[in-house]
Amino acid sequence: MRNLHVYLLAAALAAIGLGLTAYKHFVVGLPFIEKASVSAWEVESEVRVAANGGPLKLSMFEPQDSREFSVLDTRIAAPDFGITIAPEGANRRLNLTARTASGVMVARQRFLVHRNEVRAPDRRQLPPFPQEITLPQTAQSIARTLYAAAHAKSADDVSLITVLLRDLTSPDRSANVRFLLGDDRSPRKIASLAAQILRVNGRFARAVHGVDLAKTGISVNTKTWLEAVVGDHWQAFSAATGEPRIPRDYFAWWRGDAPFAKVDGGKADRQRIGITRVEQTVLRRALALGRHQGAFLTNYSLYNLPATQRGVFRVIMSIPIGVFVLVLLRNVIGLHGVGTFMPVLIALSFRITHLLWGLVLFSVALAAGLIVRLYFEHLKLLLVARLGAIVMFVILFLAAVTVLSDKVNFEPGLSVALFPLVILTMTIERVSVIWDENGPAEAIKLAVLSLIIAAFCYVLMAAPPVQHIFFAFPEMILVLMALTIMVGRYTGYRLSELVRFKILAEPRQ
Amino acid sequence: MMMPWRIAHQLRKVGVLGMNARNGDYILPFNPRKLYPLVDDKLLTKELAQREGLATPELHAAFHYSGEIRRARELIDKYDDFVVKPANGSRGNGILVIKGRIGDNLRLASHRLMSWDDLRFHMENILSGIYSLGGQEDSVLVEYCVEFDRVFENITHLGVPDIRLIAYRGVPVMGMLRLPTSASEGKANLHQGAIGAGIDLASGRTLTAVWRNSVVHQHPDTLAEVSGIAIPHFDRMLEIAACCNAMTGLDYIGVDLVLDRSKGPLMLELNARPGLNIQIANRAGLAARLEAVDRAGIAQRPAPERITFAKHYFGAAGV
Repeated sequence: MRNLHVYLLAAALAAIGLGLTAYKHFVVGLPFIEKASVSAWEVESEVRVAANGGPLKLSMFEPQDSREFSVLDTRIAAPDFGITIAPEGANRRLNLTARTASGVMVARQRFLVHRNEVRAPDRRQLPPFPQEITLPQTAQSIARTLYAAAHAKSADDVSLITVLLRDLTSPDRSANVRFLLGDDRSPRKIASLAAQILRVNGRFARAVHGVDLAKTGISVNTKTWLEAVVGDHWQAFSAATGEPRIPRDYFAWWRGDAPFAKVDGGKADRQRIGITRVEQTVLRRALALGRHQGAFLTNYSLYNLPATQRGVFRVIMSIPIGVFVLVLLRNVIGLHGVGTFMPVLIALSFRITHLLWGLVLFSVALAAGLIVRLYFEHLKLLLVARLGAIVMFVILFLAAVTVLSDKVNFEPGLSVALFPLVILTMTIERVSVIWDENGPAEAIKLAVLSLIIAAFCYVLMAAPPVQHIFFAFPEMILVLMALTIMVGRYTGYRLSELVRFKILAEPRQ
Repeated sequence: MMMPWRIAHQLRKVGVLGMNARNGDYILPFNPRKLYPLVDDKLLTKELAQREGLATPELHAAFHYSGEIRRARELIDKYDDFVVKPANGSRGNGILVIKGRIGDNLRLASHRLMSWDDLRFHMENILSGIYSLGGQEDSVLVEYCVEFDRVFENITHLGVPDIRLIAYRGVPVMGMLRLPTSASEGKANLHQGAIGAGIDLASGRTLTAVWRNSVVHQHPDTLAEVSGIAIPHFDRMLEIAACCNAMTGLDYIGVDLVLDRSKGPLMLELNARPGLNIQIANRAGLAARLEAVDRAGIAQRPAPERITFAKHYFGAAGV
């Protein structure tokens, strides 16, 4: 009965821990390996304006999140301008204004584009989009003719649009097409015209402008393609080929026929878009995306703590693994050092002194403390007074070590800090009590064993992968807790008992 | 070379009790923590035993405060032999056995000499909690020094041999005679180097002995045979052990007894966490015997029946 309760509790704790971990890894995107990296793009747009000297209004488009991409860390560098951002149809417009502006003014925006690992859910509801028709009356009737021709040659909505785009781009264009397009056969003009033709015929369509993230460079060309409502969603069509798909690296920036930048009170001098590919750790990306999307588990995680607390918690979260090792050592292996969890505390102080120097320091200070203890024994001092005197001696000893290390420029010798000192004196106290109670052999054996266990715990607790796992997934501690609870009901033999009772397992001679 | 799992399998078959099983299956469920002071504090145990009519070594004096220790000589100098022990000591730590005087000095059982100042310092250390479980303040007991029975004369060195019986729910389940050696400095604790000889509960005779985890037949100091010795008054010892569970409320208990040549069996102390070495001394498993007690449902029967059960099942011919 008791065991069933224990198993259920352990199973529940492990399930919660593993479940949360899996969710955070697969959905939130926190990596199991801290250094895993992924690429992102840094996009920069720059607009230069020759101002007239009077009021200046400059506006450009701001990128938005899409199903495929997330836009992070948007920064606008436009000194001397007032900045406002307002939605405009399907776009967001960045308005920069100045009362008096003269000479060349520069406005830059820079942002990071990440590809969404898990695609944002497709919004079924279509965003409102102005269906303005700019074609003159005569052109509208030609548009209807072209649409009817494409309609006749197609089977469904997708093929209709594909056929229409092919009609517009084909080298042997009809007179109608030539009338509407003129000499401009750029994808931009074609996408824009196709959208007009579709709208005249009562369909939802628009030109989309963006960049090809695959083509990095200081100055890249914008790309234009067509988007039309097919069924219940916006479908992208390549303006050049008419195919109902665009390359996966095409990043949509703004929609409609407006140019990227609009200037009032000056003359657009030069505009440029630059793309650089940046390597970013999966971890940083997941955290940035999580904060951006307001994910609960990211906003209430240890990563949101101030830097000092983060450092402290990286260490604290690694303590349970050390504690678990001690539980295993005692209850399953049958080994133990000084105190219950003292080796974990010693391991923590090794973090400050570093392993090798820590071991040397602890051994030397321990030996010195015990030698002094041996001497005090002849003075017949009472227990607490004797321990007090030993602690004082150890502190003086460590002060001397530190001063000497400084004199000879021995860097590790200066690593004695408050925490290791406290742990060191506590250890010496425990060891001397054991010396009094169980004799020197037992005391030295336990002290050496404690240092070995502490070194092992240190190696485990200071390992960056271990620290990362418990910091990124604190719920893994629930899994350790489940295992610890199971060990707490382990009533089998300890490994050491197999040696101890071996004689009972042998047949009697 | 036996494989570890083969050993584990064999130990389970013999019914050997491991530390985890002792703690998890017997001590935690059957020995309520709040009753521990009854056995941890030897003064309380003594009072309890007296109320129950069990003989214990006579208490000469008890010291609870540092100030009282100044009067130690005045109070106890009239006794030639006496034992000084911490009331809350464990594993025999802090016990001094005084056997007579040489000039102004006290003579220890280990033939060392000690001044009264040294003794007072030792008592102060006991009071400050150096030997007590958990290091709390402690008391000093000064007791009658047991004159052990002549039967043990050839098989002991320096100290007093004692008999450890383990009683489970009123049934004595296993016994061991502990013989001090020069290595144990007169102490009767196995891990300090004493010999442990298993006892056939049916006849009260010693079986094989264990010393430092190996089987021995002779005392290492006197070279006398340690097996096959009939312990006098063994039935009385079983009776004492059988009533200790009810007396303390602890179901799993170690009872330490000494055999005085004039006063007979005396109960020395009780232990709520008796060690497992007794199994090696008896070359038998405790778990098998504890399970036998539970299976037989003998715990509710009167004491004589429980002792008969123990003698029948836990003798050399039994489990």
